[in-house]
Amino acid sequence: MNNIKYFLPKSLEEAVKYLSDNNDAKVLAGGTDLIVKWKKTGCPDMHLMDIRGINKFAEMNDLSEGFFIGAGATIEQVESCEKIKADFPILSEAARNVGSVQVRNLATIGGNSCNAAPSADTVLPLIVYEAEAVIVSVSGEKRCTLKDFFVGPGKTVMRPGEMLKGFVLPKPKPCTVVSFAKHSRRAGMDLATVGVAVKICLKKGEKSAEEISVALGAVGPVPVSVKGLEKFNGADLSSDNVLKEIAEFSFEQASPITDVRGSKDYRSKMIVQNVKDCICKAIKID
Amino acid sequence: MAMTRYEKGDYKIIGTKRPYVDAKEKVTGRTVYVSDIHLPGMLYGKALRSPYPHAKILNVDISEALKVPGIKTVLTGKNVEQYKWGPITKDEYLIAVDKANYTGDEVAAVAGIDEEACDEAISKIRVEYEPLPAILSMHDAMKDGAPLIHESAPKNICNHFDIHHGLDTDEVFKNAYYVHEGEYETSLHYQGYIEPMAGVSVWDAHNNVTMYAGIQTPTWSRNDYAVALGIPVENLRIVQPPFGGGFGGKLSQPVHPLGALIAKYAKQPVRLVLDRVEDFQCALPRLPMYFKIKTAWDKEGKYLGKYTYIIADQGAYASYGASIALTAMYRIDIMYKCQALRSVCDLVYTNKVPTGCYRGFGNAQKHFAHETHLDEVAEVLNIAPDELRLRNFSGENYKNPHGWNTNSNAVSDCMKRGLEASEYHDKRKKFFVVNSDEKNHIKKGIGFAACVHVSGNRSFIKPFEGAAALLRMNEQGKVYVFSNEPDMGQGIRTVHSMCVQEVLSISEEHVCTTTPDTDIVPFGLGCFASRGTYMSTGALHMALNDMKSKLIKIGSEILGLPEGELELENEFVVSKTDPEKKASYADIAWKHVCDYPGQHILGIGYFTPEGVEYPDATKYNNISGGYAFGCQVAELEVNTKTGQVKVNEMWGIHDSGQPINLLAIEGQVHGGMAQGYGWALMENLAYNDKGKLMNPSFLDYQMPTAADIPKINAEFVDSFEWTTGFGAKSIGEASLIGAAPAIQNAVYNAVGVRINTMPITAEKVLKALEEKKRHQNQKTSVE
Amino acid sequence: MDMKTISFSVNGKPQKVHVRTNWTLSSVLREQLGLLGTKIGCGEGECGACSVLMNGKTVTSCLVLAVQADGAEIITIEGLENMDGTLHPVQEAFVEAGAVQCGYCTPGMVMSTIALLEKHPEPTEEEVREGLTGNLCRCTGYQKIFEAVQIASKKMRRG
Repeated sequence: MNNIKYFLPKSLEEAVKYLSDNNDAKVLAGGTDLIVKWKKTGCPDMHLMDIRGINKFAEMNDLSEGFFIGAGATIEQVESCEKIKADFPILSEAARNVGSVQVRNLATIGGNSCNAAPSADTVLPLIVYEAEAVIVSVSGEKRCTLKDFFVGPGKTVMRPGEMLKGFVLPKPKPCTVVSFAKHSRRAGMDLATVGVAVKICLKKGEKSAEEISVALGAVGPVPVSVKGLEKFNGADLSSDNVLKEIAEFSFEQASPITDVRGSKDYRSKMIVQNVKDCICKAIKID
Repeated sequence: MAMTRYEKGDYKIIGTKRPYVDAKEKVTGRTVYVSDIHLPGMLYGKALRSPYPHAKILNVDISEALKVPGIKTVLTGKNVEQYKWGPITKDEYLIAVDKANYTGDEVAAVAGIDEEACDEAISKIRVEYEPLPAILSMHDAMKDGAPLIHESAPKNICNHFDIHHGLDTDEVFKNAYYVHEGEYETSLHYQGYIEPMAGVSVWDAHNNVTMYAGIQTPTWSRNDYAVALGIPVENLRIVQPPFGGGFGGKLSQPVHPLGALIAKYAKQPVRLVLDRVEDFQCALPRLPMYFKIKTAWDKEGKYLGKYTYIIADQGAYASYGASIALTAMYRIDIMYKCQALRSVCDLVYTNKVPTGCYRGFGNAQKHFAHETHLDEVAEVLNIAPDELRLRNFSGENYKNPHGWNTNSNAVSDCMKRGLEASEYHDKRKKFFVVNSDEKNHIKKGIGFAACVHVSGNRSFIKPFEGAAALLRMNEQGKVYVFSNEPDMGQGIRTVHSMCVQEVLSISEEHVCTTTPDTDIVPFGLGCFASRGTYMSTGALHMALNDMKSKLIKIGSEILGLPEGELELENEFVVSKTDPEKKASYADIAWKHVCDYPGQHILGIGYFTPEGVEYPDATKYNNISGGYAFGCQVAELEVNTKTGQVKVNEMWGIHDSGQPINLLAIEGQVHGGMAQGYGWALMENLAYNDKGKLMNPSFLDYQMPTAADIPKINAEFVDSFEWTTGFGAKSIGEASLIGAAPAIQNAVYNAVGVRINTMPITAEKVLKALEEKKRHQNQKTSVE
Repeated sequence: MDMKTISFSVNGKPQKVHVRTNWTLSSVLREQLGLLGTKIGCGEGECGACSVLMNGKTVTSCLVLAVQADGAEIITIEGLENMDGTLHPVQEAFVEAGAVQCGYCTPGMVMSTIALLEKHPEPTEEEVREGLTGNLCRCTGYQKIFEAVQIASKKMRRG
C-alpha cells in the first residue's frame, strides 16, 4: 500500500516506449485531477510516468493544417497564448475559467481532456473548433476528432500504451463567430453546472448560419457534441423561435442528472437558456 | 443599589486602528498552529468512522490492524475506559460502543508512527454492522414509528421547551387587527475555518493530561473533557496555541478528548488532526431549524404578540443544542417592544452530523426567519419595512417580558445610518422603475435586516458570569496580560494590548498578551456568546486601575511627591506640574522586586455584568449586560432567466458600544457578513437518502471565494455601553446574523419571491419565479 | 517503498532530500525541511493554504509530488523576509491593512498576492479577485486582503 512507482522520461520516444512496456503506468501531467483522485481513494499504489520533463509536450506551434497545442501545455500557457487569444478566443476564455491560478499553473490542456470529466472546461471549445487529438504509441501517430474522443466517464478512445501528444486545431473560417458559457454556482473555483461552446459560420453580412456547432458540458456521462445541427443551416438566428429550436434540439442530446451542483430539471433549463444566450452573444444580439 | 456607570474616557489609543499584535508572526509563517506542533516521541492518531448513518456495531475485529508496522495501539468502544459526556446532555461516547448514530461517528481509533501507518491500520479494522433505519430529516424525527436514536429521548426529542412571558398570546391573536403567519427553514451551515479540528495530547504516568488544543473555551471545556476521560478536572491542563479559526465550532467537541484517550493507551503524545473530509463529516455545524412564526399587529403596525414554533435539528448528539434552541426561541425579543411572547421548541435527534455552536448560536436562524417575517408583515400593512421596525424598536433601558433589559441601544441609529449609507430609499424607487421594464431580465433589489445579539449569555454556569484579568509587570517594567479569553483570529490580544497601552501609557513592545494555559490563567468561560471583549476588557479595566495605583504609589515613594500629583506618561510616573520629576516603570518595577524579594507588581481585575442573572425555571431574567445591535443591508441583482443572485454590495452598521480596535471590528463585520452571505446563497451540507454527506470538500461545499464576495462596508454608530469599563459591546456574532435576511428581503424587492428555505439557490429562485408566473397567468385567465 | 533523492532550491538555498515517491511537496517542506509556514487546510488543492512559488508560479504544494519538484526553484512564505528581518512589501501591507485574522490562510494568500502583483503590478479589482480565487479565507471576508493588495502594489512600485 501507499507506494508510487515513478518514472520520468526525457523524450517522447522514451515515454512511448515506457508506456508500451508498462501498461499499468498512468501519465502524470499537472496532477490536479490525478493526485486529488489518488488521495480521495486512500492513496493506493500507483505507477506514474511524469511527462513534465519533456519540453516537446508543452510546445505550441503553427502547422500547415492548423495550430498545434501540446498536451503538456499548462492551462495557464493556453490562457495567455496570444495566438490562441486571437484565433481561438473561447479556448482562451474557457482556460481562464478553469479552477484557480494555482490549478491553471499545474493543470494541462491534455489532462483536462484525458481525465474525460464531462464538466471539463477546455474540452467544449476544442470540440467546436473541430480539434483533433494526436495520439501516439510505439506503432506511430493517429488522429481522433475530439468529439469522438470520449467514450464514458473517465474513459477515452485511447488504449493501453497510447498517450495524447496534443491537439491540432484547424484555423476557423473568416466568417466564424464563437462564444462560451460556464454556468456555475459560485464565481470562483467551481465546476460547471452546465457548460456551452458555440461556433457559427455566418453568411456574409447576415444573421443566418452556414454552419453551427454546439458542445455541451456537465450534462451527461461525456461532453456532448450536438449532432444534426445542419438542419439549421441557413436559418435566421435573429429569430427567437429559431434560437429556441436550436437550444431545444441541443438539449435533446443531453442526459443531465441531479447532483450537488444542480438538479436534472434545473440543468435542463440551463442548457436551453445558455445555448440561446451563447448564440446571441456569438452573433452579438441582445 | 445604584449600578456602576462607567464614563467614556478621553482615549488616545482605544477606538483607533491598530494592526494585530500577532500579525507579523503570521505573515512570516512563524506562528506555530496546533496542527504544526510536534512533540518529542509524538505519534499520530486517526479515527475509523461509521459508513452508516445508523447501525448496530456487532463486532470490531482489530487483529489485522494491530499487525500493521508502526501501529502502537488500536482502540474500540469496548477496549477503553470512557464515559458518556456532552456539554449539556451526556449522550456521547468518544468511541461508539454498541451503535453508530451518524455517518462519521467514531467506531475505532489508532495511534501510529506516521499518518500512512494509521491509514493502513484503519483500513484493516473489520467492523460488522447491522444497519438500522435512519432519520435524515428533522421533520421525520417525531413521527410515529420513527427509529429511536437514544433510549433517553423518547420520540427523539432531546428537549421540549415552552416559554411564555407577558400577555396571553392567544388573547392577543384573537383581538389583533392583523395576524401574520410564516414558515421558514434554515440549512446546515459549516464553520469552514481553514485549519481543521486539531489537538495534541500528552498523558503522563500520574494521569495528568496536557492538551494543546485549538479551542475557544479552555478552562471551561476542561470540565467536559475530564468527564469523557474519567479523570479529575484538575489533572487536565489545556494550552491554547494559536489556531486557524473557530467561529463557534471549536468549543467542547470530541476531537480533543479523543486525542487524549488515544494518547492514554498509546502511552506517547498523540496528535489528532482531522482531514478535511472528516471535518466536514463530524465538526459541529449550525443547527438547521424549522420555524413557524405567528405575529399579531394593530393597524398602525404596533407589534402585539408573537408565537414561535421551532423544530431544531441537533443531529446525532446533543452538544450545545439546548442553549442554541433557547437562543432561537427568544433572543430577538429584546429588539422589539412586543408584550405577548410565547415560543415552543422541539429539539430533536437525527442521524446526521451532530450540530452545535456557530457564530450566531440560534439567533442567526431566528433572524433569518423573523426579519423575513417582518418584511412580509410590512408589505401587508402597507408600512415601509424601516418604519415598521422604528415603531417597535426597544430603545435604551427597555425591560422586556422575559426580564431582559437593554442599557445602551442605538438600533434606530444603526438602521437610519444603514439605509442612508446604502441609499436604500432612493434605490428602492429607482429599482422599481428599472424592474418594471419587462424586457430587462436583470432585476435589482435592496433589502435590510435589523439585528441584535448579546455580549455574553448568562445561561451556562449558575453561580458564575464574568471574566478575570491578571496583569504582571516584570522587573524590567514589561507588562504581561493573562486572560482566559483566547484569540482565535478575532484579535482579542490586540484589544487587550490597546487597553493596557491606553491606561498605563506604555508602548506596544512592552505589553505581552499571552495565550491561555489553564495552569496559569484565571478561571473563565472563554470566547463564545460574543462575550470576549465586553467581559475581558471589563476585568482588564479593573486590573489596569489596580496596577496604575500601585505604580503611582511606588512612584510617589521614589519621587517623594504625593500620589495625587502624579500621572502616567510614556512609561514613567511623572509629576503633573514638573515633568522633570519622573520615575521610570523599569525603576519602579525593579524597586518592587527588591522591596518584596522577587515579587512582581500585579494588577488584579474581575468583572461581572451588573443586572444580569441566571435564568429561572421559566427562563426569566436578564442574561446579558450589553445587547449589541446592528442593521445589515444588501443590494443585489437577480437574473430572471437563470435565477442567479449576484450581490453587489453590503453594508453592516453596528452598535458595538465603544470600539476598541477599529481595524479589528471592521474585520469582524466583513468576515461575519461574508459568512452570512455564503449561508444565504450557497452553503449547505447536503445528505443523500442513504445518510451520506454529499459535499465534504471545499469544491462541493461552497464558501465564498475572492471572486464572489461583494464589497462590504462596515461602520459603527456612536455608542458607549456604561456597564463595562471601556464601554465595548460585542460584534462577533451580531456581524453575521443580519446578512441572510437582508439578502432575502433584497431578492424579494428585486423579483417578488421569497425563498423561505435556505439557501437561496439559483434553482429555487427560478422555480419560484416560474410558479409566480404560472400563478399570475392563472389569475389573468380567471379574470 | 520507492525512494528518490531530489535536489532543489528552497528559498534560494540548495536542498538535497531523500524522499519517498508518494510524498507531496507540502509534506517535504513541512516535515523534512521544517518550513511549517506552508499550511494544510484541505489536502486537495481547494483552499490554497499550501500555495508556494514553484519556478515563479504559484502551485498548491499538496498536489505536487515531491519528486516533481526535483530541480525546481521553490519559494515559501519563509523565503520572503530579508536577512535583516525587514518584511516583503506584501507582508508589510497585510499587517498594516489588518488582512490577517486567524492567519492560517495568510501564507498562501501572501504567495498568491506576490504572483498576482508580478503579473499585474497595478491590478484592477477584477484582477485582484481573480488572482486570489484559489485562496479561501473564512475570517476576513477578503475586504482587507483586497486593501492589502493595493497597498502592496503602491509600496512595490515606489520601490
